[in-house]
Amino acid sequence: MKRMRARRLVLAPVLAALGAACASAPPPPSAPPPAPSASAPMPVAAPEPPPPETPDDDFRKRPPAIPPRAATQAPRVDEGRLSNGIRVLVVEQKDAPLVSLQAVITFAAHDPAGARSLLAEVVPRAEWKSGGKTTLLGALEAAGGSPLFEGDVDVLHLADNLLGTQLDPTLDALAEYLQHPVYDKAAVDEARDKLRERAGEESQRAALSRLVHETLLPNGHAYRGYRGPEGRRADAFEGTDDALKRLDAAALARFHTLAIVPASVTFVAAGNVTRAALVEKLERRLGGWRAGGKDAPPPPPALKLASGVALYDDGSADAEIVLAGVGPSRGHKDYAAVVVANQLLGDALRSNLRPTWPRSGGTDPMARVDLLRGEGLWALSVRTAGTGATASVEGILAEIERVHRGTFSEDAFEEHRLAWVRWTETLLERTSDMGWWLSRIATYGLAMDEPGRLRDAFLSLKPDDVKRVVGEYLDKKKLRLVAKGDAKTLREPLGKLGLGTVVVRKVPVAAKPFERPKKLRGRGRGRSSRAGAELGLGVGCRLARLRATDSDDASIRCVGGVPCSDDASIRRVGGVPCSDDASIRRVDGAPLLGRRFNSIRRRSPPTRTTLQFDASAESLCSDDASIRRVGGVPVLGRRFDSTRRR
Amino acid sequence: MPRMRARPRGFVHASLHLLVPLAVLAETSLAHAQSPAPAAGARFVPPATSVAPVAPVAPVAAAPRGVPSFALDVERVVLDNGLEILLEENHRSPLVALQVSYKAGAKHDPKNRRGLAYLVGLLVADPSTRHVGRTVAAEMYRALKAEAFRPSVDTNVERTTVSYTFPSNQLELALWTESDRMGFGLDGMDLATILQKRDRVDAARRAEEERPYGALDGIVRQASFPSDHPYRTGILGTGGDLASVTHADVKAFVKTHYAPNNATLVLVGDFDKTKVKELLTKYFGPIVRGPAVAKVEAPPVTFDGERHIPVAANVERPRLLVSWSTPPLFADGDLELDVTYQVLTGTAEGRLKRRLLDLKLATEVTSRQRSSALASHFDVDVTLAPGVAHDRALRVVDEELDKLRAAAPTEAEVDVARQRLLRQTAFPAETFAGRAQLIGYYHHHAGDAAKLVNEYLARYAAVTPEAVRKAVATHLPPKKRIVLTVTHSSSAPRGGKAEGN
Repeated sequence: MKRMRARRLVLAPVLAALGAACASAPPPPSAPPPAPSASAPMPVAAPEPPPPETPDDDFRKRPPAIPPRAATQAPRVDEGRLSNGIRVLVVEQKDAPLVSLQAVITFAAHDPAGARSLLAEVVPRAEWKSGGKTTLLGALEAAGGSPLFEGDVDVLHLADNLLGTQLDPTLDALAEYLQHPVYDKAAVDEARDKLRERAGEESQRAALSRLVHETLLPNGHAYRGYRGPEGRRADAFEGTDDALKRLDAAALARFHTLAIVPASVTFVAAGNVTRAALVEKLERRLGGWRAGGKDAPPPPPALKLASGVALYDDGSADAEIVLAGVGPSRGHKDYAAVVVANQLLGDALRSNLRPTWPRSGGTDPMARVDLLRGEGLWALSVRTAGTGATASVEGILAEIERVHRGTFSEDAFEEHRLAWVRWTETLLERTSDMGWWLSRIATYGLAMDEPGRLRDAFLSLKPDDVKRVVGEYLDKKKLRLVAKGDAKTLREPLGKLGLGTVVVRKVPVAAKPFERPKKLRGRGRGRSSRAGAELGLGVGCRLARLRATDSDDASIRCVGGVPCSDDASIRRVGGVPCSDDASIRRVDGAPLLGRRFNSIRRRSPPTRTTLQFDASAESLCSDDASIRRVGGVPVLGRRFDSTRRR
Repeated sequence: MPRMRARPRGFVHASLHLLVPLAVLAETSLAHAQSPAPAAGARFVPPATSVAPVAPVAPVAAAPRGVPSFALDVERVVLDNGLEILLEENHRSPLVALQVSYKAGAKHDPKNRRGLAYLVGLLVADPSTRHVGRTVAAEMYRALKAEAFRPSVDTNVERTTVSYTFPSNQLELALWTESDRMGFGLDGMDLATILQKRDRVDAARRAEEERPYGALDGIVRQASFPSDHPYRTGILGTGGDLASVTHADVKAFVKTHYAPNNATLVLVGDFDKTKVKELLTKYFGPIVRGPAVAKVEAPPVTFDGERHIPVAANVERPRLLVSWSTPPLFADGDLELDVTYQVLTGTAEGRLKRRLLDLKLATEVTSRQRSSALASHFDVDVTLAPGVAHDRALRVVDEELDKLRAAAPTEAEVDVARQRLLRQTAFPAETFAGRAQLIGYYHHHAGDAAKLVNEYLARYAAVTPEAVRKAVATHLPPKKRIVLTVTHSSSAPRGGKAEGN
């Protein structure tokens, strides 16, 4: 390289001079030139200097060293309270005219099953006494916001990202709804029926998760009906068909009165607003609201799992195996170590319990930890042939032991750790992410400096931390086994594993799946109306509807009549950015993607896969694009860049 | 209001349509605003070289009450070689967003080499191998990529932009990489690589032609612009031009356009300005200035009458596309037409959308003001319901526009439109990358991002219903437009082909 460069430098003036000479060669003279004078030499055109070149400085020959990552400068969280006890958290960011606002409602552990999920489902269509027929969603959108309503077993988030200039109308709507709600009977019935329908169509994984929770958690525990936090909103609700069908508008209004009181509400805001201003605005609207007690709802009590091995007899030749222990709560100091450990365990299970593994023949291995307000389950599971069940259990225990001993790849550890570091860094960047952070502080009782502290925790995480938490939480003595399969085949071998006495149980009889009235169902084709856009996905999909008015729980279960995996979902349709982690690529005949962790995957090759978007899919999706529009409404703002954020 | 586009992962080269789609920041040069003259005051004198005086941030007038505004604290530095640098410190997150944009967009394509800017964009996306060799370059590039967010090399009508966000500790590595790209980007580039990338351009063009309705933009461009207009060809150019592209063509384009005096570097995020200026001087200061680049200009485009173009496409649904030639970006009427499209089709309650859907004449209705520096288009797209004739839908479009020409929209309609547009402008700037893009974009068009972005927001906020009515009456005349009627033909390409052409 250097030699070539040198040669070029030598040749350059010569070539330049030659080129210049050729270019300026005059036409032949018509008369002989005068004889040169001895005293005055013939002038020679000076060659043009070569164009200057950028020098090859030494510092270009090797890349600069990369210093350690910069220290975290945690944002300052200002806390305030209204006169009635409503808590207010604010991070002021003045550089953009944006505010990320959330009303965070923390649920009590004893709330009735299903009501929390129904509330989250119906809240976009909730009204208030002085608002006529204005819905909460409509009011916030009319104020130019981008509302998002999320609920789970712990909390309901009423979130909105808006221009700071629109704070007043947004607070007006939220305050009126919180104090004077009106639940339209038809809206509640429809939302409840949607949940019931979903409860009847829950995925295999969600059904197993619910079974494990119902087996291991005591009666009345807040998380007993939990299906899982996988981010698959279609499954992330609690409540069985039995519990849900008893709920109506009156029951929901009673639940609202019980659960949504000043002590359970925190307002959080990040962006161009000060604590003083927000407190003043809220005091004006909510200061006179007196209801409920003074104390915030406590988290569920420490978890104690039922003992023994639960074997659900469904007579199947296949078996489903779940080994579960008690994990920490989200607010526990071990959070960083636990999430990385869980990823390493997932890697280990996938590597060693895959279908080709000769002994167990396991499929779909998974490690999952429920990080909630209270302690949740840390579970490792695999599906296997009945004859491979004991080997699978032993395999899982062996993998736990391997990780506990530190027999994992340092590269894998670093990759996971750095991915979390990057995640925490990006969460500090956006105003809306800071709003998200504040809502988590409010929900899980985290320290005010958690956004910065968590980054530091991941930065300083060591393999020993992972080893420690695996040993502490997933100690064999503390693990419980829940299995489903043929009791005749499984009872004896499982009993020999030393995990406790095997108790055979009957698989709960599933109620006949609830079906919503026909008029509410999708028709395999999209349409737009004043009520919003609806998206149909192929013919024969039982759960193939996305409505613009839906919250982020719409999910695609099948495409072109071919079932998809249960973890594919599209979130946030209807004028609101699509979910962080959902994307559909390669539509119209080409394979749907399998590249992303949560992409839609086909179980079997369909003859033709066409997504019918608003009856005009062709105009909306290019071959490699995510869903861009639903019913003419843009749904996708962010693409791959942010898919890993949450 | 245009909205910034999210970046795909991986250093990819992204193409845009010539007339930048709605979801992308439109590119233009502002005719009535020049770059502010350098002024003394915030002068930056690096140790190794002198720099031109810098323009201080103009004091931004306090925004009227109720009008959102940005607090942009941008320092502008100009190196001796002409490289403009815009710095905004922000320590909210330990990240830095970098954006280097070269005035090397499709409008700079040589006349017989349409698509060259895009091709060169693909070429410079690869790391420079001059100093560290292919292996090390690739390794370092991988390291940077592994940590970088939203990396892309993006060519549009105006510029080719390299951008990504990375942890602040990698700042020097990023500057080292980018200065190598600027100074030596195509050193060692062989013809085989050029041809390989040219095949990618061809593939992208074919994909565009095969995308349902994908050729409509091109047909409108061909019908709208004279043959020498820089917007007449898309950024992907024509296959014929690039078929004969040579190594010399690429080198000449790079030499002219990928030079510091034709580039702007924006950094936003967690850095110390003083230190970063030293690094910028070290890495970018020695890069030699390139030749001056002439400004590309074109006369305004006007339609004399109405032109109907039948288009055959292998698509299921017929479509109607009505297109007007409208004022360039930021010119009078441009923002009003943004509000107009929101009133017509921005929400499910948009008056044109609602009417066509209620009448079951259409399955999808959109409209947009596609603003660009030299010329804009206002388009109404109607995907027809089965069995509906184009004329019927066109009558409804005309009726709704007639209503808007005769009477201003309601204040409520305009308010919803304003809020949506303001929001679309403001929210992408949540991220450092979005902020860098915002700064780079406004700087490119007017030279003072801090001032212009807030002016722009204020102008949106000040659009009145009467101004919308006036803009529709003035800029969307009933008989000066192009009307494309797309019908199904199984023998036609999916993208569409103008019949008789």
